[in-house]
Amino acid sequence: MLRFLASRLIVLVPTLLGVILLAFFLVRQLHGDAVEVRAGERGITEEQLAERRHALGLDRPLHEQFLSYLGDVVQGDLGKSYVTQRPVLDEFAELFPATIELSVVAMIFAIVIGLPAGILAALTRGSFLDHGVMGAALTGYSMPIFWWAILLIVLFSNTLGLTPVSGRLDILYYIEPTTGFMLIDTLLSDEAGAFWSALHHLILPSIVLGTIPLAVIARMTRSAMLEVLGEDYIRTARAKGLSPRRVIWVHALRNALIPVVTVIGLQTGTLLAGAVLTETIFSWPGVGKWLIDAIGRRDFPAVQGGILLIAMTIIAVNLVVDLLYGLINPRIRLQK
Amino acid sequence: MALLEIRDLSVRFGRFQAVSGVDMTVEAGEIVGVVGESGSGKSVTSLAVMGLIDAPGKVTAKSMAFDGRDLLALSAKARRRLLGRDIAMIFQEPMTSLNPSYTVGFQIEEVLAIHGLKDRRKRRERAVELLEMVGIPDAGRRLSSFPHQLSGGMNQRVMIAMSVALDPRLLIADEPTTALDVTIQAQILRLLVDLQRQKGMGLVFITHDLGVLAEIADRVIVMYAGEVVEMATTADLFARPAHPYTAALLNALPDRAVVEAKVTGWRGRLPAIPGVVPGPFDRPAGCLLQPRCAFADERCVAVHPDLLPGGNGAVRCHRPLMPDGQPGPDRMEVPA
Repeated sequence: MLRFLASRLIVLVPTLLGVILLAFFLVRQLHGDAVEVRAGERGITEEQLAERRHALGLDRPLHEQFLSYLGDVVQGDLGKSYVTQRPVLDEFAELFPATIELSVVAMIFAIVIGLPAGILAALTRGSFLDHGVMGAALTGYSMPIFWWAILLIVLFSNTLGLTPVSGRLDILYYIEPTTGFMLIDTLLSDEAGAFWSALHHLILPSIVLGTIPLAVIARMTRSAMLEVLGEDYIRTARAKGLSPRRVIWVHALRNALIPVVTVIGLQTGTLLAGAVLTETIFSWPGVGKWLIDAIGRRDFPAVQGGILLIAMTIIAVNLVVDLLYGLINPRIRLQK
Repeated sequence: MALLEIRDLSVRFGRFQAVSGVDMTVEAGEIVGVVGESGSGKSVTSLAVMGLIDAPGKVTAKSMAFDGRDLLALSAKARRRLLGRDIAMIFQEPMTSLNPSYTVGFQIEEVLAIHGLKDRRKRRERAVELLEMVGIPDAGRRLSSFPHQLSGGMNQRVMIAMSVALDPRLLIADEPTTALDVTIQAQILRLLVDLQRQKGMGLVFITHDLGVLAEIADRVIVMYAGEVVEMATTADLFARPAHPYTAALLNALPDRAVVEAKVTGWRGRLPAIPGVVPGPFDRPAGCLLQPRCAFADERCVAVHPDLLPGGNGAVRCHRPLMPDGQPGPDRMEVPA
């Protein structure tokens, strides 16, 4: 177990180095820099621009900038935002709970709907229901996030008036952030109705963000379940006189979950990538929207730091998934 | 009253008649061997007895009675109550017939639990006792092993322990030794026969190895292309086969060929049956064996023979073989 963790941590070093390298050079491929973007049309002289660039170190050769940035990162310093002058890590930490909250709720939505849908489709293979579920999953998977979001907003917010269009909480309420997770903070506060408002605001973004993972989970569950149901040990279980329910939930599902858990881990990447779009559409104050804004402002430290931290999150989630995998699959767990 | 009495059992999968008109009787304490090539319907017959044929498979029979109770008239639930308790089955592939995600202890105790042994400690004690009975050393510790940690022979012992856990009155063993090493085969065979004697179970032993049946079976049923072609006591069947197919199977046994070579000085290839078992959709109109039978005449091509008393039991042939190994007179022309 410890050796497994150690080996994974060693692989982490080149991965993160690659992420830093890519983020650093890609963001500099954009036209313009933070100084230019801020100056806008305000007739600032070339000298003033050069002076500001010098202050930010943007006039130094690229490799020099990179090495000094890398040196800082290694010491845990992600630099300060060019725009707000606040440490990138602080800004990220402040906004990250909103993203996690959205992602977790979206993933719960995807699992709670996707897993039973996949099981149901497998059990009714070839039926109308099966084709319906798989068709819906394919549609959901193929739907561009921004388009899906707009459709839902038009239907549920504009036409039916059932859900809020944007934000995390109704303006009626003010909640002092304690944990940063609105669902928890509103529960801790005395504001009646705030929790429901927070939940209400989560509905559409979670559906939008959770749709692709849902589709993937449903399809994966179906195919894994079908494969497992054809196994010899399922026949053995039935020959023991077990009820169909017990055969499915105890003997089949446990084995079918093994590939599904892997897919759920891989989907966290998709989820965080999707969060960038979803947060932007729903004005969700998370790191996704913050990252998009930072790109627009050519706020290099914020973009680089944000990408690095998101990459680390995805890696951490996948590590947890790998450990979980061992938990449900004894053949992995007991390898010495 | 026979323990198991099947009359005219047929199993169809769509247009494919996998088993047709099978009669089978098993008395308590008797070992009945069922022999036939792959695709002869041996396994399908046993799965039909267990009630494990799924849609689109369709099982019909004039009667299928276990201990006087009509199995086809029972509700699914009532039938499941018999499985694992009164009728048990073991399968060909021990490595895949146990669930890889659960310990062998869990899987043995499960069959005890669902058939009413609620006391956990007693279940554990019984599981240890069962593992000791099937000759697994260090039984207490082995309970927490997973199937992948045990060898094929050990897993088959676990399967046997599980199947006899509740002292069933009928045990169906579907090629239980086929996937094992020859030395292990002999051990497992011995174990099964010992248990059968001890407990006075009826044992249906399915195999494609006539040699095995010579050692253990009281009676033998020979199947070909989904039909019973000959039934007789083991001694009679081996001494005087009445069906050309049975005779050909016996001739193809290496042991017998070696003996014959010693006696007669015969040298040559081991006799084989020319051709293959007809597939689902190319079955001949008359006798199913006719294209491969050395003695076939026009009537064999035109008319499908019935299973009639003859030889030393029952035989499905127009001209059953005489003790000299040559076909006798046509049964249509000679009134019995």
